[in-house]
Amino acid sequence: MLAAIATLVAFSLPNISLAQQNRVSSFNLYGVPGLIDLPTADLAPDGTLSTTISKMGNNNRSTLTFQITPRLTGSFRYAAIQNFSNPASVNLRYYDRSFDVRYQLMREGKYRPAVAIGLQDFIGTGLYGAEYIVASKQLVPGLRVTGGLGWGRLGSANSLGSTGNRPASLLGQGGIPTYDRWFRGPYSAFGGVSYAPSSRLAFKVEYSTDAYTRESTEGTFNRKSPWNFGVDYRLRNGGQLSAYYAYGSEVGIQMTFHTDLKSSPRPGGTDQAPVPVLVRDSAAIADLGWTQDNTTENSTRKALRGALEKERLVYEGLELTAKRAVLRVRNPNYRSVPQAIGRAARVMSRIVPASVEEFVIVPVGNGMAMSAVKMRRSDIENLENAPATEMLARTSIVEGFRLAPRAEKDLYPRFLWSLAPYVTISAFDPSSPVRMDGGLRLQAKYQLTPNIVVSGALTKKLFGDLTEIRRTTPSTLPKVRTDANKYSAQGDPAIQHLTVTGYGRPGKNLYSRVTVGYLETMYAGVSGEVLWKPVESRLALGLELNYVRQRAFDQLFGLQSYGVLTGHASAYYDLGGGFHGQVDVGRYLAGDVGATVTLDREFSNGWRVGAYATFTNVDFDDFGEGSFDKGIRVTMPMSWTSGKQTRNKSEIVIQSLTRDGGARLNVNGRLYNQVRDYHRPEMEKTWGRVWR
Amino acid sequence: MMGRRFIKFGAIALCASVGLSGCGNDPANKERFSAIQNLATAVLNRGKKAPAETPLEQKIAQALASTTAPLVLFSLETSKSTGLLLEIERNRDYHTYGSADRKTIVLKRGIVTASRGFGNDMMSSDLSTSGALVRARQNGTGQRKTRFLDGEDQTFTFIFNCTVSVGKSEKMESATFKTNVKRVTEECAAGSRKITNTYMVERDGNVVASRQWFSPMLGYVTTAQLRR
Repeated sequence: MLAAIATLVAFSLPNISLAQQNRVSSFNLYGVPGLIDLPTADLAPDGTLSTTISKMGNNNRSTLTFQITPRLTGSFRYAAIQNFSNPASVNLRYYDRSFDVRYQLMREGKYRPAVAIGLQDFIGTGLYGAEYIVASKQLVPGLRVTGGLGWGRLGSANSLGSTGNRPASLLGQGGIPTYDRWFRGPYSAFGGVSYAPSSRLAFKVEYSTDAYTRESTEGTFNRKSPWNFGVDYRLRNGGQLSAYYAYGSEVGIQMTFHTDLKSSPRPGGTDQAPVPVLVRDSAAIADLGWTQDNTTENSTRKALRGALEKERLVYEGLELTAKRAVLRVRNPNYRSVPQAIGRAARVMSRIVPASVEEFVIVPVGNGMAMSAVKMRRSDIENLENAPATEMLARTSIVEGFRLAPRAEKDLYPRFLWSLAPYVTISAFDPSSPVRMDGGLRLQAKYQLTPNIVVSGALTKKLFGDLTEIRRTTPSTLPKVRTDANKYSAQGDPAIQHLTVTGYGRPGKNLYSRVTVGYLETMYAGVSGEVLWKPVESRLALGLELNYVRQRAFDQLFGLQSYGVLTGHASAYYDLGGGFHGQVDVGRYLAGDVGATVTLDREFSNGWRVGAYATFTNVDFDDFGEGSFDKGIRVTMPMSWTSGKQTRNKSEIVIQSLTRDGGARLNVNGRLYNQVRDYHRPEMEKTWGRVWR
Repeated sequence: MMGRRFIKFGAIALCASVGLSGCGNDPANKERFSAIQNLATAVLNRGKKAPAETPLEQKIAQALASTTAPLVLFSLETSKSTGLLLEIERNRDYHTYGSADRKTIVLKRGIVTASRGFGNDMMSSDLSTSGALVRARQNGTGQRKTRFLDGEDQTFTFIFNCTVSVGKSEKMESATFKTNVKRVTEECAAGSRKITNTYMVERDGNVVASRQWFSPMLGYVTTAQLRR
């Protein structure tokens, strides 16, 4: 999976300038800023997502590192060690997940070095567990020295002393921070030098204090020397290729790719040009002759429908009076809502009778008026060539409740279908890092009215090995999520979902959804949701209640006996500065009660990197391995690579382990993400595209 | 056994032949795969020359014959793409010119103030004092502002400080008119960004031909009025 991200990212990179990428310091075998096996105090620029794949002897590591804030770095790593005789090994292969965090305490100055403090593999089994304080300084251009103090693995060879006892036993069932070990036990001094004679090439030497104890005793590692040597080659796109000779016995190679999530390969995008604004004749403005009969109104409707379609928007309805036009429009394509609104406004300026001065554009989704954007036509005419902010100052974005004109009669019912390949991936099974099923998926959507949708998806498996997941689950909880192998084995063909959903606006600031049917692959039942979200607010509150029964393993129409009432109260908040938080409190599928906390770093171009953790009243021993559910997620907007606006995105969730505790229902059509884009805080973020 | 395997491969081949986008009428699903398709096309077409097009002279003649609207010939230096732009709309002094493949450039008396559809487009400009000097064919210093979107869709503005210098008079002949112009050079700097624009300006301030900075990624554009 990490390799997949690396490939994806690598494809999109050639367009990012070398100058930008040169700011990224060298990364090490652990996929963090460092020399060869050791960390440095360096950073990547804020918002950089880095993927590293490395191999040193029998040690394979894939790491995803994200520069969370200008000084805070987080990493997720998946490692495989070959020829490792551990009870947890499968065919002598040992798989291990680990998380790192580090913080740069001091920036590099003219005389002072950069200083960073880091925790390596700080959650879970702690195979790579280490803590360090490290300083790095450039002496002359191209020459950098690094020195630090390390505990854990980094204090395991040539130790200088000890700070207390470092416990070896596991807290809980693993998966919780190993705070009892941090900065305890033997410590050592490590260091190294890097020299870059050109911007493309660097040579590195380091003195490692990692004894590779477990790799030597349980594996076949042979540590003959503390000295490691390496050379980096910097690709044009900023990627790093490295080769090493390590520990006097091993050869290592490494590949690192960086993506600056704040940048774009195609800034501004490559969408076709919008139509220009038409400025009215002053004589025509006073002409109200058209209001005498329906001819102009009918031709206006027809012209709007055709012109909006050319702008990749869908005309749904119009309310036309002498001075005011209210447009009901659907936005299936533009990730940036202001761009969609701007294009609709341009189209209206060319078509709507000249006497109309007020434009109200009401974007609708699943029949719900998401907001209403009010503009004066003279402002549109005057500010087409002015900075976008001037138009924002004269635009009001208000609550759309009851403002949407009725949808034209011939638009609904509407039938959509598609047949396309699919893959379902399960990662981190102990006997195989990635398992997947793949095949064909037939999807159909029948929109009875703007608000009522019948939707279904049928899959036929063509290949796959999800059936081979054989994880024994010593857990006292009902098996609400851990029967995935049975669902995979017996569900062929499978009905992934078959539902009827009704959406509505029960009141001001309120949005609602009711879904009935086969909600997802493992559960069927009823799901209801209400969302409170004022159009100006950065806060939203939601309430979701579901009664579900577990579906039969064949994923057809049968049900099993297990049923549960599950639901959550949710709070969503745009924290500002690119951070977004969500808290869900409620009852999970296994009947356990608790809360999920999610924090995301969001970029206005659609990239999102976040992490979540769920704590419920299941104690760590009942939960089993991992102690509680947690994971990270990366969302890539498809418009980022193509440059063409699309609302499609690709999301990868890396869950620690799929367990039965803290599991939520996966119902389609949840409200918050449908509504949020159309509200003022979100629209302001990409308002620069209003005239794009 | 053999038979089943063939059926499976057959099904995969079917969907592949339908295209990576699968089959159906759901636009959302189609778009999902367009990025992959674009990538595939780019890889497959690498190194291949585009098929021979209608010669430019012929295109110009056709365009001049088929309309009476103002016509501009443009050429982007970095991408080496050349095309014709027809005036499609006027908003006061801002005249929008469009190409057949839906790209537009906005010209204010022949000076580029915005573009759309090229990628890394100039979003808007205030030509202000520097532009006034160019149009008046006067030496002097002035300012102009040009706005772009960055990778996060935020607007950033180059505030250029410019020196305008007027060169010698020249005679120019276009496809549809003859005129006298002066060569006006506008040298501008905004931080480390330095640009030099050259305009052939008529007595009334109209720019007949030019070489102008277009955008950070696309570099310079040359323009020539074929019909005013």
